[in-house]
Amino acid sequence: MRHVAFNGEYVRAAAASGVRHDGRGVATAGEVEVRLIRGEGVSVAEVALQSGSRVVCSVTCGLVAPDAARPLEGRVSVSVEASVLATDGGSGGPRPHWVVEVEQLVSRLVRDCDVVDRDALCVVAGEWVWSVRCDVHILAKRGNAADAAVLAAVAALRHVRRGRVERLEDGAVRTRGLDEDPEPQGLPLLHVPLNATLAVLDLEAPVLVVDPTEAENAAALAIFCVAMTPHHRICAFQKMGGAPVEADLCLQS
Amino acid sequence: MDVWFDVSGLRKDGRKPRELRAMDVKLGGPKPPNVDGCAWLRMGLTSVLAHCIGPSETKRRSDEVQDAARVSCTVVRGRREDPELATTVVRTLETAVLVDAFPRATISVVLHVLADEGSRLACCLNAASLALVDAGIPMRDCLGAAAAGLVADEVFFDLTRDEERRASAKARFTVAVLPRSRRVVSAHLDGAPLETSTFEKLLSRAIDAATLAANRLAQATRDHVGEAIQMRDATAATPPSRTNGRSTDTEEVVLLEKMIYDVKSAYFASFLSSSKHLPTTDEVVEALGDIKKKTPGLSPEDLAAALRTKYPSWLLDDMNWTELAEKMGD
Repeated sequence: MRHVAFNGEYVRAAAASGVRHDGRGVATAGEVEVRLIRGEGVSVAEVALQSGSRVVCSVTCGLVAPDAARPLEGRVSVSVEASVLATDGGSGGPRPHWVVEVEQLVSRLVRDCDVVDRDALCVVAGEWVWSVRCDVHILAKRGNAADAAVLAAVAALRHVRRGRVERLEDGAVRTRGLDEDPEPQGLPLLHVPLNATLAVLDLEAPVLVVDPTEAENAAALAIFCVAMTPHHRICAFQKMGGAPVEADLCLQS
Repeated sequence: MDVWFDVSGLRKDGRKPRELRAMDVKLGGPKPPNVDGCAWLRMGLTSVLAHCIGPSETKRRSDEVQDAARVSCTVVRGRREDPELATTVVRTLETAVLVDAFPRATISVVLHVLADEGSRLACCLNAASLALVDAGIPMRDCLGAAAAGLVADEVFFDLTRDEERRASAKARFTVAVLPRSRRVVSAHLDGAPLETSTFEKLLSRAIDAATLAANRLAQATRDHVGEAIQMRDATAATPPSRTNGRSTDTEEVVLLEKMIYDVKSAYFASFLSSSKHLPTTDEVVEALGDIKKKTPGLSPEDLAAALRTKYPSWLLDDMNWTELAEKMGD
C-alpha cells in the first residue's frame, strides 16, 4: 500500500490563486495519450493521463443468439476491473468502492444511455444478434481514473470494426473477415459522450477544478462526474458525498 | 402512446405530478440482539427493511480509519447482493453521519429490499437514514431522498416502476439532500441526454421532492417518539401488578423501557429540534454565573444578549423563566 501524505492546504491555496499545484489552469485538462489497436471484431484502446492513470479497454463483437425476452435487441455488456497494483495491493475480498463507482458510470453511459444502438445490432430477428463486450482494466490509478475509463471505453467502441454478415445457402450465418471485406462496419453509435470529473476544493468560494490529480482528489470536498455529448447535452451526472451549493452545477456547463 | 394523465390531470395511480406516494414507517420494534437500530419503510409498494449495527469495533485492522468511523453497507435484493446500490448508500451516509465522533469504529447498515415497485435507491437511502436514527447515531441532519423524472415532458415525483420504465427513455434523477440546508449529498442521473436547461429544472425539482420526503420522515420519527414517551408515562403511572400471577410483567416493562428512546440524550434533542435544545434551568444559572464573573455589572438585558451569543443553540424562548428567577434569587 502506498502511503502518501498530500498537503491539502497547499493544493487548495494553489487552486484558489488560479494556477494549480502542477502548473495547469483551473479549467485546463491534462495531456492525454491514446493508443488504439484493432483486430477482427476486436479493438483495444489504451489511455494514459498526465496524472499517471492508465486504463486499457478492449471491445469484442460476436454473433450470439438474442435474449429470449428481447429478440430484436443486441447485447451490450460492460465490466470494469482494477489491477492489483491499482487497488493498493489488496487482493481478495470485495471490490473497492471506487471500482464499483467507475463501473456504474461506464455501464450507465454505454448501456443505459443508449450510446450503442441496440436495435441496430440485430442481424436476424430472434436468431442472431451482435453481442458487444466492453472490458475495462484499470492498470494504474493516480487521480481521475473515471475519465480515463470512459475515454478508453468510448475510443474502443468507436475504433472496433466488424465484417459484414452473409447468409449461406444452408441458412447458416457467416461474418466476412476483415481482409475480404473492403468496408468493414463500425458499431452503430447514437452519440459519443465524454466524461469530465470536477473536484470542488473549497466550499466558501467554490473552485471547480477539471481533471483533478491525485493530490487534488484527496483534498477535494466533493467530486462531480458529468458526461456530455459534443452537442452540450448531459448524459450522466454522478455525485457521491460532499455538500456543495446548487449554483456550482450551473457553473460547470 | 400511453396516456399518462386522465382528464383531471392525475397520474395512473391517482397522484398529482408533484405528489409522493404514501409512506409507512415503522421504527424500532423487535430486532435481533446484535442489531442497534431497525426501521421498515414503505413508499407506495416499494418496501425496504434496514438494520443498523454499530458503532462497533472494526473487525479487520486493515479496514480501520484512524480519524473517523467507517460506514459499510450490504444491500440484499432477492437472493443476491447489490454492490452498486451499497456503494451509493455508503457514500451518501458517510457525509450525513458525524463520522468524526467514532474514530476507528464501524457503523454497518444492512438493507433488505423486500419489494421493488420503483424508486428503489431513494427508498434504500431513506430506510438506512431511519435505521441510523433509531440506533441513535449522530447525524448532520435527517437525510431524505427521492426520485424525480421526466415523463411526457412533465416532472413526476417519486416514480413507480411503470413510470420509471417510461422515464428511462427520458431521464430520471435520484437525489439525497440534507433538508435543513437543502444541500445535495448525492445525485444520480439516468436516461437519455438532456439539454442543460432541462437538467437544471429537473435537478431543482428533484431537490424539492427529496426535501418533501425528508420532512415526512422527520415527522414520522417525531410521531414515533411521541408514542414511545406516552407509553413510558403510562407504564410508569400504573406499576406492574402481579395479581394475574404472571411474573413476566416486570420483565416486559424493562423490555419496554429499553425500546423507548433515551430522550434526555443531547444527540436526540439535537435531532428533534434542529440542533437546538432546551437548556435546564441549572445550566442557564451556571452559564449566567460565568458571564457575571467575567464581566460584572451588566444589566439584565445585556446579560440575556450575552447568553444568546454564547449559546446560540439554546432555545431560550421556551424556558421556564419563573423557575429560573426563583433559582437565581432576583
